[in-house]
Amino acid sequence: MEKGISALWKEEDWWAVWLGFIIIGGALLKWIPSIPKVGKWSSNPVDAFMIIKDGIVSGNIFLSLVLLMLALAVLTAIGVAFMRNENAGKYIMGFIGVFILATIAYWIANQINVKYWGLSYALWALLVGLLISNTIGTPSWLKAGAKTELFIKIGLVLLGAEILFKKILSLGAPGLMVAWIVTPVVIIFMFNFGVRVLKMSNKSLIIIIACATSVCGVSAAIAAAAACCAKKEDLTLAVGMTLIFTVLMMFFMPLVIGAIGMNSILGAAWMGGTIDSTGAVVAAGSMLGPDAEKVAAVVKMIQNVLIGLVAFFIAIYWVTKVERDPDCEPNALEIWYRFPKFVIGFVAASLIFSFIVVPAMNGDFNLVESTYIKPITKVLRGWFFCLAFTAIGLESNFKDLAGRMEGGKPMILYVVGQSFNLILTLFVAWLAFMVFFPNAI
Amino acid sequence: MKKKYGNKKSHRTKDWLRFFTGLIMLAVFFGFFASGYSPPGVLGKVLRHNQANDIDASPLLYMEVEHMSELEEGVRLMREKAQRRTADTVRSLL
Repeated sequence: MEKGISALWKEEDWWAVWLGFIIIGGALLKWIPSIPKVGKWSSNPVDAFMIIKDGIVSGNIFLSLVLLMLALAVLTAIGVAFMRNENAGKYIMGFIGVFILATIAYWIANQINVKYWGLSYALWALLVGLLISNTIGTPSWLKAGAKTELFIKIGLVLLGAEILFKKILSLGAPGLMVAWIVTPVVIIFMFNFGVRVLKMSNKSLIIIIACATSVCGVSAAIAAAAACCAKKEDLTLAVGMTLIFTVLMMFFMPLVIGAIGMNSILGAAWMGGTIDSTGAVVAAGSMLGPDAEKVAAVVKMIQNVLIGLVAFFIAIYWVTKVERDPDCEPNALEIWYRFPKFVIGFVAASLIFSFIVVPAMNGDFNLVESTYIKPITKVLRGWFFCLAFTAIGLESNFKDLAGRMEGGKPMILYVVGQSFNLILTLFVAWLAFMVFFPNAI
Repeated sequence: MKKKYGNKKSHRTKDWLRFFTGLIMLAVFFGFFASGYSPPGVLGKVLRHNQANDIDASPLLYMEVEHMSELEEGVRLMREKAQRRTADTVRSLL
């Protein structure tokens, strides 16, 4: 760990902040044009790479994808070369390989029927990487470009721009009750259950599963994993579980709510607070009607905003409690040295967008989203996460993953935690929408 | 030495065989989901609803939902309507 001023150009966390803010700065100054993304396709796979407007093909994104790949390769290579004195040329070659695999993962995930199932790019990127690493083995030239932590951290700094604090008031007090009271309680319950009852030795895995279950699935898992410096295999395991259970909950929750005749707004709030990913929440909410779809999506959105705070507190807790030297009390300087600095970038990006950029644009959220976030930071964040999951797959093997199962304890933790989450969220949603604020909606 | 080289070669062949087997499994896995199949009965209800209404269930975060701003606007209007309703009720009681 670098302790002097040189940490600013030697530590990966700081480089994630610099690179993230170069991108955010470029977006705000309008130096970055819109970023290409792999599109949806139905029966013709090439449609994913075509620019289609009103059913007419007006061009393709192949050249802009190549330019994006080279730009990201060069940008991140600067950081890699400074941090580790690694050969930038070797890194760029490896990065190109990882980028091509990530593009394949995006292409698979964007098939329209796959999207209806709720299977996101994270799953396909992991599978593509795991296929290579567990069969022919990841070649060393490709490994050189698989900088998982750097990709995750840059992605998280960019994610900060999407976390707009004013959104938490979108549903008023009942929304806050469901999203912000239940979530921390479930995290604390699951962490204690994992440590004290299941006696799991891997605390990082416990907190990742707890955050994925209670906040918002994959994105929260990534943030928690980075905040507590978890192993890649822990993240893979948690993400795998959350993706499977998200699909199951999306399928079954609307059926149960419909079968027992629950009030649709209460059911929507319940699903918004419990189903892990936003897309699945929207799909499940839509089953209960248009109003329920809106309420479910907004409850989930309010919960999404918690990611930054959760990552911040996990980082603090890990530095001061979990990984502290038992023989001495850590002083403020020691905490600062060990604190994951990218979290500062993540929170700073969120604060800048929430309290400077949005007010500077007359409080017009839609304008901020359509000008800076949706065409630039969101797309690039997606690319960095997709690159990260591909890299994780390339560096993981099934033996290590099996070794982390601890006799099925992570699965028990997920099931017990999610059950607790379901009960508590239903109770608080009932209190919020039926008892305390029955006329809020 | 020759024997050692031979072993290495057969290992590589096995690795590539495993790779192609895995690739076929991945393709079958993808093909299943991409085929548009939905489980019969209530199990496939949500999926059929997604297909009929073109609902993308894959976004991880709210910003990835294409019509999120419409959903937010919808909630804002619902809240305004509820506030008006409450005010009317209070007025009628007074």
